[in-house]
Amino acid sequence: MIRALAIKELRESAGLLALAALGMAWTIARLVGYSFLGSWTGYYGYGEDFFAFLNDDFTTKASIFVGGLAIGLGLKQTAWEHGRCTFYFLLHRPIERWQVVATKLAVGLTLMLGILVVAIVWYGWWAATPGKRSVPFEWTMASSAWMLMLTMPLVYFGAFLSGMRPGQWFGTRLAPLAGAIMWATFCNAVPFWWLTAALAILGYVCVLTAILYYSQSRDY
Amino acid sequence: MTDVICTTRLTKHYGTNRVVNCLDLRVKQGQVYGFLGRNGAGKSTTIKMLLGMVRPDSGSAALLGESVDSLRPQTRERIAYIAEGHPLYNWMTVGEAIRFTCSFYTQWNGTLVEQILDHFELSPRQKLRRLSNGQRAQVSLALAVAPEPELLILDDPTLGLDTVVRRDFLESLIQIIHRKGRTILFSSHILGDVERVADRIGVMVGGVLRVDCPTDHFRESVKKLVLDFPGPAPEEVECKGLVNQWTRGSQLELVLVGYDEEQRSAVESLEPRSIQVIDLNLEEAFIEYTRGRKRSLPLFAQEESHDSSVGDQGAA
Repeated sequence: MIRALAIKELRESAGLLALAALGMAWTIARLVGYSFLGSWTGYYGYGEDFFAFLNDDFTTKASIFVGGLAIGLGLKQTAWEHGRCTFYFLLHRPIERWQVVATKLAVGLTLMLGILVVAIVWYGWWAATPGKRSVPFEWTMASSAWMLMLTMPLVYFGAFLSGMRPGQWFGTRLAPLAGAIMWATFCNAVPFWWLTAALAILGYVCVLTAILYYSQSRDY
Repeated sequence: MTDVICTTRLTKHYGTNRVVNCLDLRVKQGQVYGFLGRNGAGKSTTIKMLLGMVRPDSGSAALLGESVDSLRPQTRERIAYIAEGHPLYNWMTVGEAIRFTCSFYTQWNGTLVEQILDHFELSPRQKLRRLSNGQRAQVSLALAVAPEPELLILDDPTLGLDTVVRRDFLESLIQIIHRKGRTILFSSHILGDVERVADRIGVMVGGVLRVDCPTDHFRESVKKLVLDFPGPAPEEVECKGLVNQWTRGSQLELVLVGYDEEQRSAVESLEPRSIQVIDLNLEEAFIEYTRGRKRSLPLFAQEESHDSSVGDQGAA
């Protein structure tokens, strides 16, 4: 039954995933110098000596496309089900409610992190390939992208919580999402990776606890 | 017989509005219970509380002997629920919906599903979003009964269906009822449906269960009296069991519950020229009983038989 539930979530997320994948493919294609007009036109505005991940817009674009995916997935998995009343169908199945929530979260996280990992590895692998770039590449240069990956689940959990938490007014309903985005931004601004990780994990614990609480206690 | 559904002083507020008020409901094994009430009477909220979708503010409820606060998946497997509007995943085909639902159950009667689909001429390849309301109801019914549940809870299952589809749906339901003595609780606005199917009814009025008795007993107990006076009819009458009254010139119309000798004497003491006692069908009885003026309703269900419980909650 978990498999059936996971497949259902995957199929419902396919559209959003495709949009985010297109966005990331476009981002990387431009960074590696591919022109959508059909010819190779050199590197994307940075010349031959730009350093991958360090002085390009990979992280910015990734935060837009993958962040959009995180928000879209989080809301679709919760508010969309509420809106269509399918929670009544789903939550009455003989399965613990936390298992339904955990499966949704697992699928959402896998998709969101999966697309980010693929994008980072693809772009990093290209930058590391001899002959592609006149500047050296070290995987440590991708630390900003990995940091983004560490904090992006906060945005997803925030969106999920916004959809799960009951609220009278749209603004207060979106408060968890707004808070999660601010916390994720703050985590990314911290100069030490270990502090970023610690703050992100603290955020995970808080938001996941709230998700679990509301999923069990709210009125559907 | 054991109580399949049992609630004790179940109460729910939305804001300051008390939607369900100290509900004591008992549904016995094998009963088909029609749960009636006007819009906003608290039927759907009660059903959602029974299924753990809405948390009560106070009181308790148990299904198949297990508290609804902690229904185990094994118990949930024995309970079917069709929510209002037949919510299904529209992107699925009928076949996909069956496979998806089937994956959650240890017991699944695939033959019965095929029979129901065949009966309603539904193809597993049809997309749910292309189905009419009636066809969605039929798919919901097939999915609900396939795990061979002991208890079916249906929230207004015939809402939005045309007469023919409704009749088909109900006939299928009746066939299912006859299998293995299942218990069914269903809410409805269509009294004809209830009359055909339910052997007992409960009527919610303003969150209070005012009626809890056999269907026939309710229908037979609510009477309408038309009193004709030589002059202007009296404006206000006080009488035991009085639900409603209207004055129309020289005529006074009264709706009474449990019309008996005492009430007859009270009515005759008004010295009308004539008294006409009119029997009501279930729909008329329901309408007269629930649309009353802003006054407390008399409690109903003072039955002589033991199998009828008096709705003693929320007495005004």
